[in-house]
Amino acid sequence: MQVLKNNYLVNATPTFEVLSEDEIEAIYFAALRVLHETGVRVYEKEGVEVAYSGGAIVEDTTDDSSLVKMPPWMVDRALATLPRKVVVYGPDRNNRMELFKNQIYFGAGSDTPFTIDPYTSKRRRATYQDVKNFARVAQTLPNIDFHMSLGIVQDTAVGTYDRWQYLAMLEGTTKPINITAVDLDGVRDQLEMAYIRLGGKEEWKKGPIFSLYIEPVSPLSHSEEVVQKLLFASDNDIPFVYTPCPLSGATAPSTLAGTAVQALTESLFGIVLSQLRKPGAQVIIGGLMSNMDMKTAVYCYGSPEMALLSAAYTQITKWLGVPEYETAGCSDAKMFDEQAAMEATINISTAALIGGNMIHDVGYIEQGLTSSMEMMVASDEIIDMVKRIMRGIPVNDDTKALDVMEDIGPGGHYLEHDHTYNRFRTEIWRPKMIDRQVYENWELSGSKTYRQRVHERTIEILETETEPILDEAMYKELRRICELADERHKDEELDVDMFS
Amino acid sequence: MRTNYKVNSGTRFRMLSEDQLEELFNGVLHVLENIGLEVHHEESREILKKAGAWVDGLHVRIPSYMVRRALDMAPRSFTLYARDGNPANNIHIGPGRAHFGPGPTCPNFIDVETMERRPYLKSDVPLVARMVDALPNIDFCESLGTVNDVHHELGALYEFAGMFPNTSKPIVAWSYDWDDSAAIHEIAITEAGGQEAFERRPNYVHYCEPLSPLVSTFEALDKLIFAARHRVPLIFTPCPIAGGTAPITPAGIVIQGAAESWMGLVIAQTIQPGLPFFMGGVYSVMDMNAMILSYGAPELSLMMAGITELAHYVGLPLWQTGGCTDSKTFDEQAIIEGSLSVFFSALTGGDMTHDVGYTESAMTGSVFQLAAMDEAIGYSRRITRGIEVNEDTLAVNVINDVGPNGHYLKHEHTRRYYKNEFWYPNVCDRTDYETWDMMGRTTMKDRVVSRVNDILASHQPSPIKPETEKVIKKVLEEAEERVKDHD
Amino acid sequence: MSEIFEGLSTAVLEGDSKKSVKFVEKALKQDITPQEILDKGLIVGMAEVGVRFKRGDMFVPEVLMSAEAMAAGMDLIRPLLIETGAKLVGKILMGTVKGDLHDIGKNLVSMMCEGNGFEIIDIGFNAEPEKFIAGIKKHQPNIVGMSAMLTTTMRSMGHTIKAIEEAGLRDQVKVIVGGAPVDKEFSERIGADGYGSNAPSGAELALQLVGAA
Repeated sequence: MQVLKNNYLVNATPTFEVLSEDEIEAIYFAALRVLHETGVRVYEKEGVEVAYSGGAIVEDTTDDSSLVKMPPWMVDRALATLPRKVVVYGPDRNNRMELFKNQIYFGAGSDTPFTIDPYTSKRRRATYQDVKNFARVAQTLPNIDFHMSLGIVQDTAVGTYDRWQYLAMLEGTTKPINITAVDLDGVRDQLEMAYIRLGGKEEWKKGPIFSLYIEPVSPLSHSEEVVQKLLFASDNDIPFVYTPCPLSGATAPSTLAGTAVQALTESLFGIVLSQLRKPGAQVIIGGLMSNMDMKTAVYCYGSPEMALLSAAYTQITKWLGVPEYETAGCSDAKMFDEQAAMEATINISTAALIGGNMIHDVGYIEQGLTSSMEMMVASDEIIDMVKRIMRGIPVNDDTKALDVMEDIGPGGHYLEHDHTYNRFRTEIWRPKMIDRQVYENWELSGSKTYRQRVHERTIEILETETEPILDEAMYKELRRICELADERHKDEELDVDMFS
Repeated sequence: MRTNYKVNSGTRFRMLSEDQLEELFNGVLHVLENIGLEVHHEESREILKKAGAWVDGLHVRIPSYMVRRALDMAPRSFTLYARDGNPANNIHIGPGRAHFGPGPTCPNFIDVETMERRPYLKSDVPLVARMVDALPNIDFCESLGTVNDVHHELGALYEFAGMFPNTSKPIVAWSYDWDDSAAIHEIAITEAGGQEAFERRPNYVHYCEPLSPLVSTFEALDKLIFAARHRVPLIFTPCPIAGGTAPITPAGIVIQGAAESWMGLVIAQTIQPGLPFFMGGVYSVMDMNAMILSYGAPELSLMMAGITELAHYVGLPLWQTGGCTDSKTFDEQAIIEGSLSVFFSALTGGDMTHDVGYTESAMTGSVFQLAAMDEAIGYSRRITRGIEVNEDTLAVNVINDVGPNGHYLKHEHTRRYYKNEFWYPNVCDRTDYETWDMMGRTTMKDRVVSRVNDILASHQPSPIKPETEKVIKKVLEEAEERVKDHD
Repeated sequence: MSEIFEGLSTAVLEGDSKKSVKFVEKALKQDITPQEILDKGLIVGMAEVGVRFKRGDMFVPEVLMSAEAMAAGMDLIRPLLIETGAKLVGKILMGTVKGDLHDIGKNLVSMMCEGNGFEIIDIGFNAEPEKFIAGIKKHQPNIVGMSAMLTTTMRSMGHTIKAIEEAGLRDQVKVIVGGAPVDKEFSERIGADGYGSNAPSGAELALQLVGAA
């Protein structure tokens, strides 16, 4: 009889690691020391108080800040209540992210001042329509699991752009969204908008439909606004992404290990504070960790160090048991060209291999200053290719095909064999914009470059009519929140038109 | 100080588990012992029979113990030497070391001046070799094309004759037949200082290719025997096509391809125990619409990873494939596909990845693709180098020094590390938008073209010995004479 | 005498602050004028740094060490230059605007301006318009430099310029701005005198604005 195997360990997917467990621990214990002995500067009184009540040492208090130092046991206690899994839904609850170890999701990036016009290819400031369009594109792309704005809305009031941004995204997609907020008021407004979108505050309890992006400043600096957002998010069951953006060599040590230590210190502070405020508050940590290019003084988004550092950090978060915010699909190129293609291909591969959870910044070019729809559409295909490799190599009697080999024998061929016929659709990856034609046929079809095909596909997506996601009534209600915000903050605006 | 500290030297990647590899290994043994291959070479059949194989006409089956013995004898580590003695260009084959180089036999070439696609010519060979010699991340040389403007039986010899003087990096050679192999070999050993000197410090590798599925052709084996007898490191690898000439599943193609290589392994080790021997090949899928062997498919990376790990499992070095594309032009597809396979090759750690610079599914060789992939290899190597974690790199004191809101730009710690810790690109642009705009809005393609032209205008390889030049002239004349009445 | 100039410019090129100070002291002992020390020693060194940096042969940390060596030398001769009434390169008041805590860009351009001979008064980050005004009144800079990383805090640049106008100080200073979301058009709209897209160009712009470039 055919007996099945036991005592057999399988790599169901490829595995990848940068750091050994000992190295992860070394970084962790070093971060504990920095948090305890160097401390972080906190610019928000309430945050300082919460930390102090929780056991922190507070010293060197000035008008606007205090130095907060936390002993290791505070971190241990916080890790005990920190959720190992965070779920973020989209307005359509069928779209969801189960954020925990090795679950990969890819998504866009936020808040770029500029964008590449998909029609003219010119770089210009982003508008409401751009943000809406990006959301529509994200909605269509199968390998984009969550969304972020990919543009700062700069044709509405400047100080309240975050509400307009959220509205534009809600108009375009039902996938989970990671929002940014100008300040605490911005968080409050967007939460109101989410309640409206869900049909009531109670609905939020069934699961949040956005996560909040919070970025402390490296090194070791937590501003008033950052801490306010953290406390508010903890209080209101909003999962938040607490991500410093340390720049190796400039705002973090020039060694990648040292950068990881500093970043972890900054993240641990956020974890401890949130758990003190509300045990079980949902936190996702990570960040844009990269190096300064020491020839051009630029913050690299496409460097191998960015990919490597993010991967190492992912391992640390897996070891700690906290969901992670990774980075991929981005580049330092100024347009979607071969450099963008190379950097995105390798950083997407790295992020998928290491098992990052919320892998963001797909569609970012020019060091995160500009968004590119073509980059996003191309990256969707790259992710698809990488996912084919992530399926690994199943080894069993069927896949070994020894009987098929015997059947066909030396000098035969497999094209017409059932084994091939039954499997080619699932085994062989089907390209979308990648071209496999022979030369003559490629010439006949116009000798197009990949960028041209991506461009065509992008325009096709943009011009495909879709059912509006929001009905009139809901749109009006949501818009009203934005308008009220504009009204409240209008005195902060400049007299001149800033951007157009 | 900390003890019991285990660190990763470089990143660690695994496609398959030990158990899966063991099962694949047993599958290969099964194919050799129970299914068997066709061996179209009488002398080889005799050698095998004498050593214990079962021979029935053309059909040969090899018992497992013979295979294991051959695997045991083949070395895992050895060195390929730069012909001019420059140790920087030696290739150390061994666990965890990934090397890269072009491939042979594309019928077409991208003209360096016009960027047009045209037949590959004799004059392209030195150009490719000089590019290989100059590019920092390319380790060995192949010509990227089949010479079209010489007698069709002499292409391989002219390629070798054109490459050898123009790079000191080890060459992977192929040949048409025994005489061809002998002519190539004569050139190589002249430079090395004789056969004995060559055996101690080989400066080229011989490539032979059996036919999938499960056929060892006469030509492939004849050349294998030449290489074995003259102790030339040998590559004996197929190009199976999943769904065409091999099973469509990665596990199946890996098993079949390994069996095809190990048939040659057994013969080679019987003749010359301890001969350096590479398994591997080009493993990919047939695109079921375009009906081509796809050089850009993700399955290429997937399958190559599988066969690489099987090779390392049994202690053999692997002849990999990467840096290639199905794209018909130098564009983002060429770079996506090339970078993907380059990266995965680097991850699997070895041993020699060829076909870097292949475009149009191996129909057109391109030094532009080669130069662009040089960058992708550098990029990948920075990642696989990993992160060093020790007291100094953890920088706890430095962080304390700088403190909240400080900066590290002038710190002594930064000055010690920034050059080595970070990779600096050759053709990637990292300027700000205004600067990029002012400097001509170049794409990576523009910069690659510049770089290729700069290298070709300035790079001088080290010269070969005068006696080798004479020998090259001689073997070419003899070869021309030999084939002049053939059609 | 030319040995001293060469030694000084080399010290600057190599980023050796101690040596730079030593050569300046030596030069002064030999009665070389501060102006000559500046023009033939310090500036020559930094000019070469600029050339090499543009070419990609020198890296940012090296450039900053050179800037430090330049600044160390400048510190010695600045009071002497003032005495003789010679023209100083200038003084820049630098700050990151209100609401913004990012200052790595500001720090980088400040250090490069020091490399061009400027004296830098750094008023830190999250600096309100009032702080800029107080700084202008106290230090009388030639240039006011403002940095912002966010579109929301970019507004503070406009508010600050307006406040400087209302304080009657706008004519006394040149205002330059920089930061990731800033561009030339925006700088013109808010009435700034210049915009730098990166630190080196910001430092060059500063030189141009004081007529020294």
